[in-house]
Amino acid sequence: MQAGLGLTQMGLLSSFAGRSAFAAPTGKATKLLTIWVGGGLHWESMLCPFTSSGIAKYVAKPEGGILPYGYRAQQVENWDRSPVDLDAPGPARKLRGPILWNWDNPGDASTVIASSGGTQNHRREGYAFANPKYKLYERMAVLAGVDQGTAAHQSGIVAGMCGVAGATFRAPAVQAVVANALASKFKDRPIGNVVIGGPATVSLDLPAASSPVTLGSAAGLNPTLSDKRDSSWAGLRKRVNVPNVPLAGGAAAGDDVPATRVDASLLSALQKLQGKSVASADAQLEQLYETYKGASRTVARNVVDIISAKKGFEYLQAADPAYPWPWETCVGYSDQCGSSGSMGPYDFALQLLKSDLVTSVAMNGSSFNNIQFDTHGNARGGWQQLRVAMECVGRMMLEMMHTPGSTAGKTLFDETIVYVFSDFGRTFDTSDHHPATMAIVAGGSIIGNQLIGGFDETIAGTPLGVPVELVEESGLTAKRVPRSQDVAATVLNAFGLDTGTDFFLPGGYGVFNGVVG
Amino acid sequence: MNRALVLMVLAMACDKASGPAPVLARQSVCGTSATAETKKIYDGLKGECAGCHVAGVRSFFVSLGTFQALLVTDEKLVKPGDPDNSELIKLLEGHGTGVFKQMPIAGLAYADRASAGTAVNGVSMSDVRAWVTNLATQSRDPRPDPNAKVLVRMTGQQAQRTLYQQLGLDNSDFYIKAFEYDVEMAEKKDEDRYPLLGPDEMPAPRQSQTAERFYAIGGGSSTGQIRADSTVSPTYVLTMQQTSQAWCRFALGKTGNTALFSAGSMGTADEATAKTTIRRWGLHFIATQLSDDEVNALYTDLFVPLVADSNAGNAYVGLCSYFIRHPLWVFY
Repeated sequence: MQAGLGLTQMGLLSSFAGRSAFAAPTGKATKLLTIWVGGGLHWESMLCPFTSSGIAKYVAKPEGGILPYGYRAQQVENWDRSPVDLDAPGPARKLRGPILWNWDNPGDASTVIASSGGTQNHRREGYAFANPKYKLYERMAVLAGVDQGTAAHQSGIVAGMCGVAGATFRAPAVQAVVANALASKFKDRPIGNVVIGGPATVSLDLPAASSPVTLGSAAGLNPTLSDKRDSSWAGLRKRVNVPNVPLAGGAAAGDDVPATRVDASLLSALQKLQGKSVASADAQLEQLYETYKGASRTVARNVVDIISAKKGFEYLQAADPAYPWPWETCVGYSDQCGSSGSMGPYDFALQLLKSDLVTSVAMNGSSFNNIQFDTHGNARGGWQQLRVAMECVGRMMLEMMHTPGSTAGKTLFDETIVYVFSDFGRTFDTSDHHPATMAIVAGGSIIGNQLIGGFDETIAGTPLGVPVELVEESGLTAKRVPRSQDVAATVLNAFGLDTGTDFFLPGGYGVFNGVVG
Repeated sequence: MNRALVLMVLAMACDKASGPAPVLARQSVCGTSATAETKKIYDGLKGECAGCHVAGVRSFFVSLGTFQALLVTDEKLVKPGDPDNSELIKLLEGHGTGVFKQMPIAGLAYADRASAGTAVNGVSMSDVRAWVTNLATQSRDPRPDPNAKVLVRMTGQQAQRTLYQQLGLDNSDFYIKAFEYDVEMAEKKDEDRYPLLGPDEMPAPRQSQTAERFYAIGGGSSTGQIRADSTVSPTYVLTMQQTSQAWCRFALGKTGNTALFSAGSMGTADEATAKTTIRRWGLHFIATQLSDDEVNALYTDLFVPLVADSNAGNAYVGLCSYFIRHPLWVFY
């Protein structure tokens, strides 16, 4: 992994690694949920960053009946139902998109949408964002026309996670940076950076406490996080308190490590090896030493019971029968149907976030039956499926809005930044890979109801983005086309982390102006 | 943190040497510094080259420092005074002799872009040639040595195969034959045994948990397009803890297994047997001849307390898993 990093970058990362204690300012989010919707998306099926002429130029004419595809300008509305002015100068607009639901009867999935010219039928998916009862749009912003710097899947995923496209990570994933930054403030969170779906949230050489922990499912926690199984643990469960000293020795921190007898012997063995070889070997030993200590604390906390005791979806369905969990939906004439349970580990993510044992949860989202969106030459196939996937994302956020937070008076949504991203965008005409993408940031102190950025509509085919206002690393405001670095920087800034001071991204970066409150 | 310290020490060493010491001595330690002319060439080429050359061993355009240290001082790329035999010039002009014939790889070579005026902030090819012609002999900083031995964590596959061998286990302990569409598959016997098998193995595991456990210890899969991970992540540590304990227990109880004890001599708590076992397992698992002090410490601090906690059988399980999670087993 380190071979992928230049010496300069390693130096910068190392200096950042030493700065492990970043206190989140009052009012800033303290948890991160990232949802990777895989494959590269036709974001424009849900969100409309175009002018009316752009819609005519880039979006297919509406068709499809009960399996809608495409739209025309007349179908686009602001989600807050204020009058939409498609041709107002950008790049900051209210959240808007093609309205396929029936405002008067959101459950309607059969009648004809008049604004489509009679070519499409109502569909309910996507309404979760616009439901006036909850006004979720007021808590989310969309960053559009972002140059991902690549049109390759893996590289785009890496860009979405760390801000810099590449076959390997050249900066730690935002999930790891946030976990690291909050580790000292939330010492009772034994696992900072959890992956329950999608790629590993690489931490590079940040301190061990921010390394990704991969968990398959709530049911699969025991063989990783608990000492319940006798086949592994019989006779080995007893723990002793070991002073929490650094590998190289020195003063003990106040919090002893509750180590098993085997762990205690291993910590001792590691200490004896320290200083016997070169510095890089000691760095590896230190990583193992700290991870052994962290693992001891995790298993000793009996986190499995704490997580298992938490329910996933519960508050929203209790408050509003229109939102049961799980829920079922179909695409087309009921020829493809599935349950929300197959759209990603949302339930498990909620259990983890509610447990207060984790800082960052990374998961994957999809349509039902794990349908993803690498829709080459078949934009129609994924169009409505993406709205299904997004509806599930929206319901997740609604549940979080209804869930009490760990601080009195706050909700889980107040305490959490939700970041939704994909590998990249797709070309409007041919549904091929396209580096210009979008991202959703929501919750926490995000200033909502904003769609920032767009596409250069003077260009034919599929254009890149248009300039937006960014607060650069230097602190100065600049106007330029946003890049993946800027999205990562904005997510990190939502935790009160400052560009250029608290984290480093190769290639320069700015924060979207006016998104983080 | 240690790496930052090393960099700091290196920087201090260079700074110190740059004082009263002779210039040649400084060069032999730190390498030739970039000149103003080199900076001009770096700035001129950066617009076309930095898109790719900012990572890995060819990260020439991360900074002027990396340009100087990795490219200018590399005689395979730049021969001071001899532009016609410098691979950099050949690549920029489109007649490279290696895998790549030109740079940038696609479209026009750099020289053509520069002459057409389309190179981003470009410098002319004649200026690049003149720079090489006038370049003084360069000295390369020998540190860090890219061929130096480094500590590497055992991969997921190495860990699994090593454990099979050291513990006297094989696939038949964890799997039975099963068939899917007449293709032989590995059907796990019992999840409590912590079966662990890569998804690319033949026969492939039928149950996803066994592949997930393989991924957790570093895994990697060509067919699944999942990259191997050799960090000592919490996932690795937590999985190896449970798996090593379970496998040690199973191996110690496996009838006729002589990998850990010679037949008929296992499980007793007497001091002589325990110490002999500790000494033998030091060689067996981590190829280390433990000193008497080390043997005594393991006996006193680990084995005896584990026996007191439950019994000798469990104590040997703990001892066995200790060696499997020992840093000299984890790294090589």
